[in-house]
Amino acid sequence: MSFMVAMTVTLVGTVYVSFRLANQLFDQALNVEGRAKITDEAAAALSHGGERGLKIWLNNHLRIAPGIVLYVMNERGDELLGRAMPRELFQLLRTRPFRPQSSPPPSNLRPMQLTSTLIGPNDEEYRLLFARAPSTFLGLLTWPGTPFAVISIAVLATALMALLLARYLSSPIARLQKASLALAAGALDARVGQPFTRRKDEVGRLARDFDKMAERIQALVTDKETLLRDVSHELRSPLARIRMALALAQRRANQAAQPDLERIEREAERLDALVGQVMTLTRLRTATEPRRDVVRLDTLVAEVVDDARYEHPKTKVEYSTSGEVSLLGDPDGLKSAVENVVRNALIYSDPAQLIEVRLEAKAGEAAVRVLDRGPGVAPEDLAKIFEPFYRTDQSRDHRQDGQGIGLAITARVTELHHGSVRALNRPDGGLEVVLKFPLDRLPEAA
Amino acid sequence: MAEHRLLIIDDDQRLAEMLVEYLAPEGIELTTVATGVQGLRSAQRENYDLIVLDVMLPGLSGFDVLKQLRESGSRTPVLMLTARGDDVDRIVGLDLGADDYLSKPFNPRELLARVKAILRRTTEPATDEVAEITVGKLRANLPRREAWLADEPLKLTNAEFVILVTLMRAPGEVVSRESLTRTALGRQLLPDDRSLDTHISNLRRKVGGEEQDDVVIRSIRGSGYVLVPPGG
Repeated sequence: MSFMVAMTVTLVGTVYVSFRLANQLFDQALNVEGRAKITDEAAAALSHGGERGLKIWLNNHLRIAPGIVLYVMNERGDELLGRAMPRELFQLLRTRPFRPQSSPPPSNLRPMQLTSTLIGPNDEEYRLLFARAPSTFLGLLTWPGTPFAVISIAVLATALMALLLARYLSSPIARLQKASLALAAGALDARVGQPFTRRKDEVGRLARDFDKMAERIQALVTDKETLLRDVSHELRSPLARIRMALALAQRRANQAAQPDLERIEREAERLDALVGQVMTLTRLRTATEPRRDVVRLDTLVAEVVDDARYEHPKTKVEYSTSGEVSLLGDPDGLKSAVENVVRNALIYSDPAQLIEVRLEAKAGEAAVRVLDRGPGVAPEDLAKIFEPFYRTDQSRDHRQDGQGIGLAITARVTELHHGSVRALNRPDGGLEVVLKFPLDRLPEAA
Repeated sequence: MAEHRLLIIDDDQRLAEMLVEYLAPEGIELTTVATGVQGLRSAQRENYDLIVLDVMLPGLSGFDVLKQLRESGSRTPVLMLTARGDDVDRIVGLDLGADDYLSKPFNPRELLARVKAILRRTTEPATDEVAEITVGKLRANLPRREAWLADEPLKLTNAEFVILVTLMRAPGEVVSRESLTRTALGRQLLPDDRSLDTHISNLRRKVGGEEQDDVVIRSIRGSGYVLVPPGG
């Protein structure tokens, strides 16, 4: 935008300078000889027809040359045709006394002053003035006799040219900016695209390079996702067989072996859950729009809290809600989003510590807050806990089984629902995770 | 002597062999085939009590098998094995006429429970004293396992028919998701269990769920479903 303004200013400036140049050319066109000739004509008209003759002559010679206007002033200081005169010119004529000495016309013509004195039959004096177009741009436009239409068209044409040129230069840059923003926001298929990439200039080359880079990034990310999906997919079959073999073994083995088999089963279940989460995450990553069922968020969170209390009977989990909260979305996805945050709080809390789950709804937005009294997270890691397989140093001592990707699933689900997730350390210790979902466009539930 | 004859269509033959071994003591004789084509041929030739079908089969997919099986008029109950958490698999499968689903890798005990549930529901003789129930324009014939809406025959899957009949027995009364799952699917409602809800949404499409319809299946949030008779 500012670029376009600069372009227009430059072009208008150019127009202005060229008009000034044109003025000078007009001056040259009406040189001393030209002026003398006109003055003679005026003097002849005056001597033959008196003031009336001069008026008639003047009426026929209003525009003697482009950009030059003739005025005639009588001794009373009035213009003969009653036209308004530019003030400076008027002043110039008035301050110079009439009849300074008897000098015969038109010899007193001074080229630079551009005035001549005419003596009428009754010895009265008239001043003939060659007025030039004024030197200000706006004045030029308003000057009587300026070909106004011509100037307007010229200005409009240059403005249009400026606009087209600006668009020609700035539109691929705007497109490039849009594409890079989209790419940064995760739309890996964002490209500048034709026709910009076909241009032969530097901007076209930049557009082509950008598209090549985006292509490469997309390929890398897709490869990674595909690998992750394929690996977890391939893990399913051996896992299913392990669980099958385990079930057979549990049936055949004697009592002494049962605890070991149960341990194997637990680990197999853990592996199973992990593979399931990876598969869920890869599926969510490639998804663009969630299902849009009417979901009762308050009951959904209540279910999650009930499950948590059931799984961790020693931990106190408090739940508060502001009432009925409904939104459009994927019930399974939303449930696991909330569940993963609550589970995370349970992992990092001691049984004696209180976990609070709050659901708040206000002005088109629902917020689920999960607050614990655990160790919290180092400030620089607060955003990273939503990355897959991110673990704080604290959990590396195997104190608990981290979930690895639970919070990444949460982040992806909230993103798909156009919401947000954020973690912050509580001032008096512990971690607070806030999930926010917009509540707009909810149809009337039947 | 096996009480029940089952077919499993799964390309993981080592898993299928172990499953044969696992189910045998339960009185279940399991036949294993590895491809969809073989499975379809076997299902149409033999009379199985239940088919366990993996949706991810090379070549003819599990969905194709299910579709062709139902198109050929077979009503053999089908338990689908789906990818974990894949909504689309579950919805498509149940819509095509599968009775229930289980995500893979599964817990063998859970598989056994589901198999038994379906067998109990489908092979035990009906002990109904009534042969036909009518609610509004909706009519169900229990022995023939057929239903009509305004005398138009409805194309219902096994599970959909049982759910509909359960709701029709108590028109205007809310039936909880737990009890519907127990009576219609013959098993317990589990966490993250979307089987019933998927069946209901399919059933609604066929029978009616809009306010202007004659008979409405309405969902009562947090508690269950209710069949609302006309004027109710």
